[in-house]
Amino acid sequence: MISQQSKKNLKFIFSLLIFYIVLFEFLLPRNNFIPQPTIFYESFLHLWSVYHLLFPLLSTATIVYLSILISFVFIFYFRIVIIKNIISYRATFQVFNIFKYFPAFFIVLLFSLWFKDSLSAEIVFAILVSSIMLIKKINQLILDVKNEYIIFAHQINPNKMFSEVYWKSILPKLFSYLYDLQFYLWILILIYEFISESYGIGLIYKQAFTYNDIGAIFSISITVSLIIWLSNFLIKLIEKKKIYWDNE
Amino acid sequence: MKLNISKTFVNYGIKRKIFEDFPIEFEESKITSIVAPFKTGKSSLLKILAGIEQNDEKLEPIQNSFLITSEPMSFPWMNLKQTLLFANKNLDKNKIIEIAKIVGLEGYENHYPHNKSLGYRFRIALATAIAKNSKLILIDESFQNMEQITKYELYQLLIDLNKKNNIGFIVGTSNLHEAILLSDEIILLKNIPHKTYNKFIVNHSSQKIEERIKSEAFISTNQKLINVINQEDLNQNLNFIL
Repeated sequence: MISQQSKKNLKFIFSLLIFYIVLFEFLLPRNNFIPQPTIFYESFLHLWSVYHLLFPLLSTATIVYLSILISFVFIFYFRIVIIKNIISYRATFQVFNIFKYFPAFFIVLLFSLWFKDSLSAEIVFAILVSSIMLIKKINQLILDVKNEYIIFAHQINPNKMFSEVYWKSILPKLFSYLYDLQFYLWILILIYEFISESYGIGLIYKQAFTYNDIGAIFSISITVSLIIWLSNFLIKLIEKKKIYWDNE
Repeated sequence: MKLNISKTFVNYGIKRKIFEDFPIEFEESKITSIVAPFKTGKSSLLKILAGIEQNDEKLEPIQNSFLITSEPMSFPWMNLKQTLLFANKNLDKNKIIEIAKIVGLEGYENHYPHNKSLGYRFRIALATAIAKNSKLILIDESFQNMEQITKYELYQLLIDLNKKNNIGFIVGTSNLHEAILLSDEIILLKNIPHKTYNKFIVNHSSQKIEERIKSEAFISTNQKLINVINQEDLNQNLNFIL
């Protein structure tokens, strides 16, 4: 069954599509802003034959999702140490807040200057960013752990306080944060590849940008957004199956 | 049991004494209510007794005691069975069913609690206390947000647990009627810092809540408490739920 909201969304997308086709195919076919639908269609085909999009797409998507997976697994295995340290050295952790004033772009620039187009440097960069973002989120979520859970655990099984009670309390919101994290990481990795000209979608973007190929830029963006949409769907599916509780 | 409680809070460098050599005395096998308004140190007193908060001077917490906070305690990711095993991994299937039956949750062993289901969560907390072999359960304003019918069912459950399973209770409350209906003894706290208190014995003739409401003991104790509160001007200062 399609929900009312989904029906509304579909109607909206369909109307937008009709509007786009009518406006840019027939009324304004030649402009420098939005590509003509037929050109857009041809660019989409060219992406695979001329730009060889498949492997760069797989490479960038693998870097994004593998780094998220590795960071999450790392945090899961070291959750006791991480949570204990966040609670014990809260003031020290606040020092990391200065990084929020540094634009992530600056760190991307540094990494690409230091390591040029090294694939392993790109992977390390992605893992570092996603791990730091996840730890920062844990640092914020730990404040919301309910006092009654802590008192309850303190009385019945204090040994599992960190691994079970703190972790399970923050898990629903931490997992939901993956929606934002993957989006943020896609942007950073695309910029990284664009600047350092390392293999991936960022490089394809750069080539399309150099050739002034507006159709290709649009087609790549839609392909990437489809992948993000599919990943969102996958995250939602795992969330529904594995993180069934609500702390509110 | 007789204990002396002293507790000072420090807030932004300012010291505030809540209990000053406060001599509390109660019978562990009975239901005792500690009646005081909100924010006057009831929760701290219960936490000190349960060993969760420190007394100013060293004080051994009561052995085999268990505190249920104002938000009843349960984890939304654990059902009753998992919670009981988390508390005591040596429990077998029959024991789990037996405990579930005692607290009125038979058949709900695999049911996950919703955080807004306060009555269900309270029963899980009680079951956990029983699984930990607690002999004294301290309850801190746990009933305040519950519906009337749920409250009365739980009052009856506490009375039954006290009589049949020999579990004592100390109930912290601001609600006079709740205190009278439940308790064998009532401790009425006065102004901060607490140094002394008034004690009332309630001679209930019945173990049934619906009979207690109409009983002479309920009416007379209620009157006695109101008289003391009015005499000492406590209601005006401290905002009781009468």
